[in-house]
Amino acid sequence: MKNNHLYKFLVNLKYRLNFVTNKNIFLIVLVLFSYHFSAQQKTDTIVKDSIIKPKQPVKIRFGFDVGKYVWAKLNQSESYDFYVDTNFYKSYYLVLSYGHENHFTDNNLLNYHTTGSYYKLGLMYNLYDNWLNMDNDIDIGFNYAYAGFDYLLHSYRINQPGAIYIPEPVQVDQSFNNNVAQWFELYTQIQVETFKHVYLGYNIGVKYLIDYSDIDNFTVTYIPGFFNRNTYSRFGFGMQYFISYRINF
Amino acid sequence: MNHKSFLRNLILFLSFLLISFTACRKDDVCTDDGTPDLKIKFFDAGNHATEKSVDTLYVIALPGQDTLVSGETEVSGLSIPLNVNTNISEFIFATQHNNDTLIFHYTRETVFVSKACGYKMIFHQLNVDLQPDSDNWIKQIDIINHDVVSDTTHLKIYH
Repeated sequence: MKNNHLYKFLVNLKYRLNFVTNKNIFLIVLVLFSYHFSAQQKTDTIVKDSIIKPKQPVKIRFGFDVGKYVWAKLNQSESYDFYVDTNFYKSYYLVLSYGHENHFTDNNLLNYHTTGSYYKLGLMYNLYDNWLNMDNDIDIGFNYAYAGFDYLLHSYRINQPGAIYIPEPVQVDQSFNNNVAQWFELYTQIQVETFKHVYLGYNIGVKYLIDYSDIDNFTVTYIPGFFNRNTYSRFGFGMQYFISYRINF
Repeated sequence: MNHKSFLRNLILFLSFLLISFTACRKDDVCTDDGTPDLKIKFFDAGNHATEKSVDTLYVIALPGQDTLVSGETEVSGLSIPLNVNTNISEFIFATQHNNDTLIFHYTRETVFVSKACGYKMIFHQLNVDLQPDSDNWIKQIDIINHDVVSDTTHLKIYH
């Protein structure tokens, strides 16, 4: 039933998407021409503002990663990511995320399930100077992330380059539980207030794995919240599409 | 230009760089060792110390009859993949006019390598039977390494 509500919401959103795209482009154009705007701002600062600015309200924003949820649904699994952010000082935000993933991997060599959760704690800074009553974001942010997860290895295939006898999959159904991983994230993000209090956002980020569990006879492969680990590198990349709702106090 | 808009432009530039890097990201492709092949060298039956090439060699894997080597000339040695599904591998080693059948016996051990390379197999207690016929071109076989774990020579064939 909950999902039904979300579906209706998404359909409703779809009709407004053209508008969103235009707004996004407008935002990007704004950034590109920010030199001109900053020139204007200089003249603004010469004239001293006689009006005392009202105290900034405390804003709490609740977000949901739409991309992750939809992508998982399309792959017959269940993954979600929630976050909450609040501006504790000027344009600085404190961000807390929680996510759960159920991910299935099947390649030539390994066939396994990953199940686990992750937490992220971070700081974010809004670089965008809003006009009048606009309330949009161009953010940069930094996260520390911690994940705990289990693997269930269904089967594997022996890696034999140039095999004449094609290796048959070996059924094992072995679990490797209680694994952890930690990483840092640096990301940049756009959030646009599309209709009152509702934001659409997009971010891309680079991740650096600090630490992960050693597993006997297996290894850390997929990490919830991090995506696939690369065997020869600690770096990862990620992006998110999300919807958020902001409450002003 | 104020500090915010400088940062903003910098971030935009860095994002652009990031996207270009992401687009060119390498896949996780295995560059470690896979399952080792069985390595064979040919020696002279008259003088065991000297290497002797096979003039023309055919190697066929049984029972599928997949051809591994097809009429290669002046073969001083070769590597053949063992069957990872069973404890036995059968090959026909043939010259122009003479077929000899070799049956390899071994035990198998699975070893995890890495995420990109998955599991590989190593072999122990390697033994070989030469099926005797009226005229074997292979005179003698020496196993110099009973464990097939790396790419060193495991087998000497005298002919």
